[in-house]
Amino acid sequence: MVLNSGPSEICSLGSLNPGDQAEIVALNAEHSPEDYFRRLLEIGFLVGERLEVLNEAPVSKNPVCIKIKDATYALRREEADCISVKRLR
Amino acid sequence: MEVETPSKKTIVDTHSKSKATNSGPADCHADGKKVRKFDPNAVRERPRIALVGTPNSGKTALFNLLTHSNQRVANYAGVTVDSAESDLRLESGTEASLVDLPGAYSLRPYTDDESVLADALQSNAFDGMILVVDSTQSERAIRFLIEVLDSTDLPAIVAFNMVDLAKSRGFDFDFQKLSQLLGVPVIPTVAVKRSGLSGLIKTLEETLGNQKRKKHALLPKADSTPTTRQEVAAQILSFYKLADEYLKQFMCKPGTPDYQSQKIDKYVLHPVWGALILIAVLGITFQLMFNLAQVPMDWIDVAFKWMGDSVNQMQSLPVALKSFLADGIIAGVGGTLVFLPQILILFGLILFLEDFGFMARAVFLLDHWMGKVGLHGRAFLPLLSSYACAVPGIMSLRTIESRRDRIVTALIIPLTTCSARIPVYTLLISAFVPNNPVIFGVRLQGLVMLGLYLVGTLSALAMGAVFKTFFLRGPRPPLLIELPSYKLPSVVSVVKGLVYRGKLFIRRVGTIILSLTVVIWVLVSYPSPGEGSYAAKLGHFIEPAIKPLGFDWKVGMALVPTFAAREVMVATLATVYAVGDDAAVSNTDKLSEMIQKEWSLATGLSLLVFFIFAPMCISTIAAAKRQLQSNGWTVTLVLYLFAMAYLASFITYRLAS
Ligand SMILES: Nc1nc2c(ncn2[C@@H]2O[C@H](COP(=O)(O)OP(=O)(O)OP(=O)(O)O)[C@@H](O)[C@H]2O)c(=O)[nH]1
Ligand SMILES: [Mg+2]
Repeated sequence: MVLNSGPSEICSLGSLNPGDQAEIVALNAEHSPEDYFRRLLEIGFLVGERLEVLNEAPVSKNPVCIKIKDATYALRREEADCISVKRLR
Repeated sequence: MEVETPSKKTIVDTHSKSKATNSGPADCHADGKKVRKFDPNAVRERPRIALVGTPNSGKTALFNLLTHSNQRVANYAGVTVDSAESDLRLESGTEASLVDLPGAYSLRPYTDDESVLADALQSNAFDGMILVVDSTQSERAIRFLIEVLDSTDLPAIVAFNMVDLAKSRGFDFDFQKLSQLLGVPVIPTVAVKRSGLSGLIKTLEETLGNQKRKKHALLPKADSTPTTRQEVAAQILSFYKLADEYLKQFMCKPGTPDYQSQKIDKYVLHPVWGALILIAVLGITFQLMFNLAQVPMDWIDVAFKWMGDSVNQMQSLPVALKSFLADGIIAGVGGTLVFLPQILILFGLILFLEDFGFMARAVFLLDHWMGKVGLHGRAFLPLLSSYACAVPGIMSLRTIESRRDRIVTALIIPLTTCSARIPVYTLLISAFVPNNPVIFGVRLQGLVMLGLYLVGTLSALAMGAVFKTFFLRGPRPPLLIELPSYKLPSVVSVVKGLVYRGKLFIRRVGTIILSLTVVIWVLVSYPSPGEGSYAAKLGHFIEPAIKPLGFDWKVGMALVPTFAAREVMVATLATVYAVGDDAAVSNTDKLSEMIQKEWSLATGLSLLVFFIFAPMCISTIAAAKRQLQSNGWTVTLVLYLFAMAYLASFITYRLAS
């Protein structure tokens, strides 16, 4: 039996913390507005892509800055939850 | 400050998308003579070229260099919100025209500014394109290029821009390979240093000669345009797959991540450091506005005083002419021009922050707090640019996706402290607030000025909350904003920007302010100067309405023209008091002494408060009306501001007297 812990744990993008690196494993379109979801794809949030959480806003800890494909974007945690990631070390 | 002249009133109604491109220079910063409205339906006499690319890739910087224009350039996505056209001379002497367009991440528009681009590309109005690529983000840019190239067969060239930044991070590209892959010429450029421009123009001319690009579709043509979510996603994925493939072939060496920006962000976005930096920057700016600016302001003052005195001493001139020159023109123009140094200091700060890359960070930092009043973090960008002038601020509402939020933001923008209030605030503060040191060389006048800015900002946010909660309730659209790499603004570009702003201000003083001053001088001087003048009649007529605020007829008289331009208040007061006095009042210190003597403290404070809220400046109201697209909301805007101004002044006057 393998314990699902540490590096390879699957979680939503919104639950990551600054410094975390992760790989996108799935995109769940159902709960997010169509335009927004499409825009995420267009700027490079694709399955298999690596990303890194750089910062979170002070005090509120939300939104977060996410670096992906040479660019950095600010996303709100609850809205970024449509992306499932595998946490890497 | 820069307000559109009537001939340039070209703001689009953002909702009928078909009309969106049929509009003029979005930017009040546009140089009125050269940059004109881009009309896709006009008959073309010369080849017309479009600048197309992802946001913040340097399109406008290129446009400015190629056409010697002054369109707004800043380091965040969504600066350009409308198209602008200007002439371009090719190497052989052929005339062409270049159209600057808003950037977009894809041809499926997400906001109204992106629709401007998508519609323009469909309009058949172009003979060629310059595709602008940010070379530090080439994969995303190439994905967009593939989409554009596959959607049209216009001849195109690629400006592979910002190669200076890419180089310093160690990127290495094979441009020939990329050109082969895309089937269009690729030229490396640095838009802020003129590098690669001659090559760009030469290639452009050669390419234009080819009429149509031999369209070899980069991707197999889909049977139908994708419509369902899955199809769209599949299409986006195929663009990226191709872009990725190209990247492997033309990028010889990937660069290092932008560690420098990450390091700066560690401080700027830090809860303690970030707050300290912000307070320091704002504090220093406002101190400079009152203390450093004093020196050049005194020079200007002395110069105009000398001019006024010389005119008064000329025995040969008729008395009426002397008064016209000294009390009318010199007092009015000098009295306004003297604020140039202060305005430049504020613009210096704004230009620096914009070019440095701070604006998108402000959105990031404030999104949560803006959410408390129901607004989107993005709404902060139009609010911030309104500190220079509310008109371009209202125009840039186009980057906000929800109509409800656009309305709310348009309703509160007039409350932000635009630079036309600076002269009025300064005059009143120097008359009624002592410049005592408070702590560490910080003086009271600068603090009061900062306080006025804060009151304006906080009441804007409070009103935003009121409108959002009671009238325009609705869900908050998602947040998605790019944080660009920090770029150290070049001294040259900041100085150039300041010179341009300075020129605009001087032009404004020379036109609107001067002509209003002349009208006011006539009203104040005839049929007989002072109490017997038309101005006095007008002033006495409105006096009952403003008496409760502590304003006498002279103030009332000075308030009337402020609806055309706020800062004319100062010129009017200078003229009103100069006509009734022997000495010229072109000297600001003299004017401030004068009102200090004539008015009570309560009147002064009441007027200050009135200026925070009053629905002034017709250009702002007009721009808001176009953005609101509703007479009802426009009337609401004017009435609520007026009511707030009246009430707040009334209370201030009562409390202070
Ligand atoms: N170092 C460097 N900076 C550049 C270059 N080109 C543009 N910039 C800077 O990049 C930022 C964006 O430039 P803009 O010309 O406003 O970009 P844009 O493509 O018009 O942006 P939008 O109108 O928002 O779509 C500005 O801060 C420019 O000073 C370049 O070649 N090198
Ligand atoms: Mg631009």
